Amino acid sequence: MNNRHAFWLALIVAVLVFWTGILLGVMLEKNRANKLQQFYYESETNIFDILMQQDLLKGSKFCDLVIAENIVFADKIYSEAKNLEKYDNAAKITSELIMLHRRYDVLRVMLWNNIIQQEDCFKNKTNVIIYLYQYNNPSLEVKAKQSAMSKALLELKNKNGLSVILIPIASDTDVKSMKILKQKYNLTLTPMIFINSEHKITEVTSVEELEKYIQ
Amino acid sequence: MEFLTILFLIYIFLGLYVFFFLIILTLKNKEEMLSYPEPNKSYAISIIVPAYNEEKSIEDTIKHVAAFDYPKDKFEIIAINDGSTDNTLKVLKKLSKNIKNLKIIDKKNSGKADSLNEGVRQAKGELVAVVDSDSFPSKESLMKLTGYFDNPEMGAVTSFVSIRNKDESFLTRIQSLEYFILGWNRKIMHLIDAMDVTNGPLSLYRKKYVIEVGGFDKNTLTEDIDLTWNILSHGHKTAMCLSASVTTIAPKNFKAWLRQRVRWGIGGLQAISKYKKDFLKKGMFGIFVIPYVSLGIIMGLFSILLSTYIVGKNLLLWLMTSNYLVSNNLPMFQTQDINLIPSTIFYFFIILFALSLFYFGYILTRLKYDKIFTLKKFFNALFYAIIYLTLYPAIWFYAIYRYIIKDYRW
Repeated sequence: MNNRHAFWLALIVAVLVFWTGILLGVMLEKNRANKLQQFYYESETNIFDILMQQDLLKGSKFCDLVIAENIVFADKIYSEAKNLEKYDNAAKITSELIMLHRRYDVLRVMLWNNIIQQEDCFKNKTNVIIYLYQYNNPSLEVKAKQSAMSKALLELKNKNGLSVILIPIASDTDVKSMKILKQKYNLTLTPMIFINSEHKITEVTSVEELEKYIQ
Repeated sequence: MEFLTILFLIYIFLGLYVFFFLIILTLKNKEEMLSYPEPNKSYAISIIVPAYNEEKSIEDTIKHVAAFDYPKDKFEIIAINDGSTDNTLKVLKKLSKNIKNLKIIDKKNSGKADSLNEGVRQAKGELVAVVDSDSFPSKESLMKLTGYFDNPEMGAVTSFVSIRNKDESFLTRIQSLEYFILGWNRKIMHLIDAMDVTNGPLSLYRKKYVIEVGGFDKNTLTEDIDLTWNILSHGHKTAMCLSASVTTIAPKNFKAWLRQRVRWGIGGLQAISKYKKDFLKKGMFGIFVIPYVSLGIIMGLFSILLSTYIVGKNLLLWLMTSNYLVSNNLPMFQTQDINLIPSTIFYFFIILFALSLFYFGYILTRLKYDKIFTLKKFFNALFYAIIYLTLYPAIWFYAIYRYIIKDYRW
């Protein structure tokens, strides 16, 4: 019976449509990754520029400028991180964003380290909040906790604006320098909010409670 | 790639395959879908109408059957009163005064299958038709079914059922849509020699094949599915005629609907169990029908488990997060929560959804579902495509449970 050709014909059409869809999906995800990559390159250039600038402007009289540059940069990569997270949630086929995520983490560790190096400048003038979270397969409990913590931190940042530098970093993306900093400050638990190299908060806390730790 | 993504992609591929299969066959046979062969001769037909407590509908059913546009000397009506406790017998006797070819069999209650077997035993026709006592076949439907029997291998031909009480409730409106899709799909199965269900409202059988396969099985909950599979298993053919129409009454409330669907489900499981020996044997029956029905059940069950897992997981996450947020006086919603970036899987689902709407729309148009297609009807169609079809496989859990504990109540 001629109609039985439909079994093969449908298979061929389904395979064609399916693989076309997969290829378009790969292209779409690559396109999104490329878009973020552009932002990343820009941020990478910025951090090198800032590092160089700070090397040239050593001395307490330039502190305000150093702080301002760091805050602007931290805010920029924070908003890029939000975009990355959204694209990451939508990326189902390719794994390009995982690598980009790691590169952003390196960038954020560089920023954190730079702030540590300029500690005298930042002390008593601005608050540095490091938010360490789990990126790889967090449990439901951890996911819920992280979701609430990031909401609290965003509220805190919105409320206190330029007096807060917020740096969220994934603690489990195998960034070596990150491991060293974690060891240095004995940061063993995640998620954790680490305020001004001093206070370690591992439970979800209200904005008012967090404000007690900042200057 | 995540395990869940791989599962979704498998489902998407199978979904695409099934839709393209249906669409290709539909487009390839678009002219023949509603046509039927003219019979070379007038077959003698015995029409069996089994009835149990059907005093309200039996009169209309018999009148519809008696009005068949078919030579009156070529068909007899055998109405079987299966031990009714209401006035069914009285109504039948009254009718027999005016309808000469109506024969009444009054027997103790022994179930539908047994009544049908009794009807077959007493039938004089070469063909036997079965008409449910609450179904109204159209005048020309019987004639349209007979042409298929010019093929000596033809064992059973079924009709297209629509719902008479479709405006009675939301559920009957949805079922009305469902019957159109089911009817069309059954015709598609006919096109590949795999028509697997002859319905109760109106089906025609070759009597000698019904006797050859042992008649209607009394031990199954769906004697019509069983007989069709039995006929296929014996190497005979089955067919479906979309132009031969019959109306029936659909359950109007959820409880009655669930009872009917669970019964169909158990009947399906009984059929799979009974004919599993023919798996991948006996032509299209073993190669296609049994695997297709079995895989359909497995995929349906798995899709419900998968959806429950995903919905449950997200609900639990939402509850846990909300608990943290509320207890710490944090906002439940922030603009950053909005994520309008769709994934590739989402686009695939949009394609599948569009394909299903296109397919359903085409079927409803071809079968002249309704002259006026209002917004309300469009939403009914959406509900059917998104909610009804998604949740329907849940019935299988209950059907399997009842099948395992051997609870074969109607």
